[in-house]
Amino acid sequence: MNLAHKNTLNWIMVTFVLFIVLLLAGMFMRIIQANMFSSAQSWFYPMMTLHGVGMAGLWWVASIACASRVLSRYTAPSECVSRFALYGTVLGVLFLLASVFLGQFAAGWYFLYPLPFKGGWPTWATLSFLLSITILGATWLVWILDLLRSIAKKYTIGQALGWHYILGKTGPDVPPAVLITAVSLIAGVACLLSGVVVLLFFYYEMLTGVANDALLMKNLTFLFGHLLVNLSLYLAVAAVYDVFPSYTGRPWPSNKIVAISWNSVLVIVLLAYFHHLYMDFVQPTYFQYVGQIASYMSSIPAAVVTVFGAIALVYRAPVRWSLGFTLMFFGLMGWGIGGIGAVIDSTIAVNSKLHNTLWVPAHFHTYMIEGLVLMVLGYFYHYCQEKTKLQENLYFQKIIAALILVGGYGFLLMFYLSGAHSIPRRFAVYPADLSSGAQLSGIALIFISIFLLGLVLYIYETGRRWVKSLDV
Amino acid sequence: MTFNFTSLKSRTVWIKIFLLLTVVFIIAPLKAQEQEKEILEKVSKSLYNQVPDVEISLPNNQKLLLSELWKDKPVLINFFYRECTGTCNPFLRSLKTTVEKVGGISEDYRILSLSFDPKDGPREVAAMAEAVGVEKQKDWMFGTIKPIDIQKISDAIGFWYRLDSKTGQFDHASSITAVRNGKVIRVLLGSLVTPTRFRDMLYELKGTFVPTYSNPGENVLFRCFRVDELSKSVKFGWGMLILFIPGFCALLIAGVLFHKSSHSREPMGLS
Amino acid sequence: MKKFSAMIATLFVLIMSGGAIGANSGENSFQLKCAACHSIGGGDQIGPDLMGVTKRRDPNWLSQWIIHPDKMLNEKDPIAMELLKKYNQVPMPNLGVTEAEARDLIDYIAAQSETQKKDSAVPAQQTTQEPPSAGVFFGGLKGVQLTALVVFFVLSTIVVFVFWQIAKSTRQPVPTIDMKSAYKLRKWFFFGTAVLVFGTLIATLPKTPYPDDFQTPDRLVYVAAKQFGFSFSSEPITSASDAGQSTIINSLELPQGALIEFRVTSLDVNHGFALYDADHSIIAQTQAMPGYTNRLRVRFPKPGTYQILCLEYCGLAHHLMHAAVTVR
Repeated sequence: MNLAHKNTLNWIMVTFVLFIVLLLAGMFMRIIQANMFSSAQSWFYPMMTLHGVGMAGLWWVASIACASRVLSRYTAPSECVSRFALYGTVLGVLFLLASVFLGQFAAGWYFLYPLPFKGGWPTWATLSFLLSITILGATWLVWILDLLRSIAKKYTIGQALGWHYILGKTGPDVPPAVLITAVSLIAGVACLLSGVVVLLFFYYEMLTGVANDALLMKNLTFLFGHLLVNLSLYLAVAAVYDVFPSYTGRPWPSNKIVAISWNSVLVIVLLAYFHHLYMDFVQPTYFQYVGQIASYMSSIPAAVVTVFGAIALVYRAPVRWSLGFTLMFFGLMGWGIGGIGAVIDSTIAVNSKLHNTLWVPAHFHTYMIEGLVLMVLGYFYHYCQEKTKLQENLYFQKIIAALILVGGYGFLLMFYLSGAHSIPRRFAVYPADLSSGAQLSGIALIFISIFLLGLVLYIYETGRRWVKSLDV
Repeated sequence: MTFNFTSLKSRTVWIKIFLLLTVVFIIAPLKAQEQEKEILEKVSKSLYNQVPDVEISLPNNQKLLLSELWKDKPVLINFFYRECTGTCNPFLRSLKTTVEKVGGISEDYRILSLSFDPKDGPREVAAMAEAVGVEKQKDWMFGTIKPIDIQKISDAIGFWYRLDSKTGQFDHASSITAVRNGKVIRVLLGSLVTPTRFRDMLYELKGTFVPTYSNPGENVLFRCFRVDELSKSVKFGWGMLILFIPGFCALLIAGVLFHKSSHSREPMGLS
Repeated sequence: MKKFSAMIATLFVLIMSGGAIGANSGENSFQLKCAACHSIGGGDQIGPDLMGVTKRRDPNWLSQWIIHPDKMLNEKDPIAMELLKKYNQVPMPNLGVTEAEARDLIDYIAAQSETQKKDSAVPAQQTTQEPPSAGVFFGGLKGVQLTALVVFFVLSTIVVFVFWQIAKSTRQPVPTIDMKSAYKLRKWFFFGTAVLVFGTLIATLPKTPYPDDFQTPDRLVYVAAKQFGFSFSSEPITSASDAGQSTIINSLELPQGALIEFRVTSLDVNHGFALYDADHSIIAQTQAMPGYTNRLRVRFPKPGTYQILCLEYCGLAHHLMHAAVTVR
């Protein structure tokens, strides 16, 4: 078994294990919110922290793993670095688990300054958490720099970003997956660097006692968090771009429009994060306007170019609806729907009523659980199936996809309704006035169970192929 | 029996003590609660109110209208009375210290200290100015107004006072009311005038809201905003620049990476 | 003799009212400093249920524990360590309780424990959760929230419909499609999206909640958020010493229809400041950030009680952080 294959299989296994564990942590949160297990209430916020950091980190590495596999078709990323990234990620997760389970660290996934210092948990738990984020950030930075290096080895920066298409040339051919990955990785460097700056400020304060500016820390934290989640999505989309043609039998090449749209994404994604600070009225007002304009603009390359392109590719194509393709196809749909929820919330006038209500988890869970997750799971299935060529029972696979879609969207609907009802996010227990929040969480639990059933069946279906491909 | 409860004398003493305790324990807390509500009502209601344009008399018997004072620069109005054994003196001294520390008097604002005691005349207010040590400061004026105007103006700017007939002393608020073009902009409460709050008030008089503050003894690494004393405005600090560093560095790193690899790059074939 | 009975009566009144005031201040302190983590007879929360704690523990130990728990934890007091272990390593924080306040608190807890005990002799009412009715989904939705939900449903339905049609179309496959007409369609799609995007931008950008300096509010209220409560004042509170000097308003009352400016800051971590109307729907919000003052301007449309909730996660008792304002 070659190293590249082994690495990919390892990443798939890590993803499956962590996804189940973190999903159960999320389910635990909804159980507490439904007032069903009140003796464990004090674990709500630590679990929220674990679920948040875990999921954001997990899907980030999972989509880099996909992008790295896709990239290896065109360039030569170092497999040793990929292995290093795996070990680094596992080490970081261990520190995270220690801080949450032993220290009850609970500052939330974006550990907003200065809460880590003022939460009542022991200092070592804060330190362990910060070390965990440092290890993860440093590892990932090495990993994405290596992927960028592999692109740079073959393409000039102009080619990698498709500038020659914009100038009207048609060659040399640069696959869209390379273009999208290059854009995402460059923005990814900015993402991890802002994380580094935040961490440096935290450590500096721990060592010297010199305080930090809360607004600056908030800006940097959201720059980091916003980019991390958005870029995970784009990297998964790159994998979809690469795999779709093999199912539909039609090419999906780069062209002028694709190049323009992804170059604009590079600018937009760095500016849209301002929408996280709409309710900080001291932030300069034109930053807020830039935030809304950039957030609105980001819908054009996504919807008009990528989703439209995918639709044109599938329309009346001789597609075989295997589990891999079905999940990726509906993953694009989830991306679109989540995007609508996001654009609505990125309207300043609307955000004033929806900010930090459950509408926020509603929209990002949509493009995560029904977008990014489906694309990555679809790609993992595709990868294992390509290696093993096992017989596919399409009827059974349709049931799996249906369970995942029905469970997922039912669960999300409860979030959207709660958001419209002004139910706050991140509340362990809802006040009596907002008891509808508890009822909706109860209903959400039914749908989570359906999703979980679908997920278990998916892991069975993909796991069989994973086991078999160990011998390839 | 050495201690007789029923003796007339001790009985009156006990009753007196009980009555006093009743006042202390029941009425005083209730009254304090009433008062705090009242203060917010008064201060809050007086904001942006029009101040009546009354006539004031200065110690040199010069008479002028308030509007003559606020027509070119804002006026900080406060009240005192000469005979005060309580907060008036320390309050005015604290204001003086703060004014010296913060500066800007004459250029940016005037101060007007008015007596609300009808007994005070030109001599008393002049003596007060001297006691505080600001008699030579031409933009810190001490003056008196007609008793009928005292009520009018104190209602408009959130000041209150009442005479305690037993002691002959006034029970009154300690506050500074910042007036710009005849309108109340801010009211500073309390007998201690702190420089930070005073400075914030001066900025607000200029129409600049200062969105950030730092507490004494607090050391902050990079701030997003700084207050520019020269232009009296809020400007970006180094913190705002730091926001652009990650994005800028990312582009730089990408540029360097691609440039470095250009030597070892195989030329792309027309595959 | 008459005077004597008057004296007794005064004494009686005094004791009763003194007791009432003591209990009252004990209750206030409890709500302010303890209720975030403890209940009396309501079961364990972040910290233990305090029902009967005054009988369980030595009074001296209890008051020391209330006044400086941090010190006792540092000294590794055996009971303190046991509690720390039992309650998931969440330490009891030092809340700056004075000795007098601790006495009030202990009296209040003792009194409450007694009343609770009497109450529990009567069978407790079963608090069953009502089965959710349709009202839980759409009942009471209004304003911006309703519009957002409707727009979301309409656009999402279009997306689902398109994807479904595309999926169905693969039943009649053709080897290639006419890309020219596809590009033409994309052009129209692009224009459609652009018009929608720019139209909405132009319509919504002027409706931002940020204060403009040309409008002067009628009232000014300073708000200081702190783990886990809000204080209101007529003066800025930016530090604990300010809180001692300024007059804190316990019951905030504001006029209906007037333009109120809340100047919101925080004394510790980031908090939220969200106003909920009587229908439990958010009417406005801003963040409370240490070192900064956010100005939120609101007109209360109707008289009544408006709840204030913290909407930025601020620690283990975040969901218990609230206040209220009465509008007349």
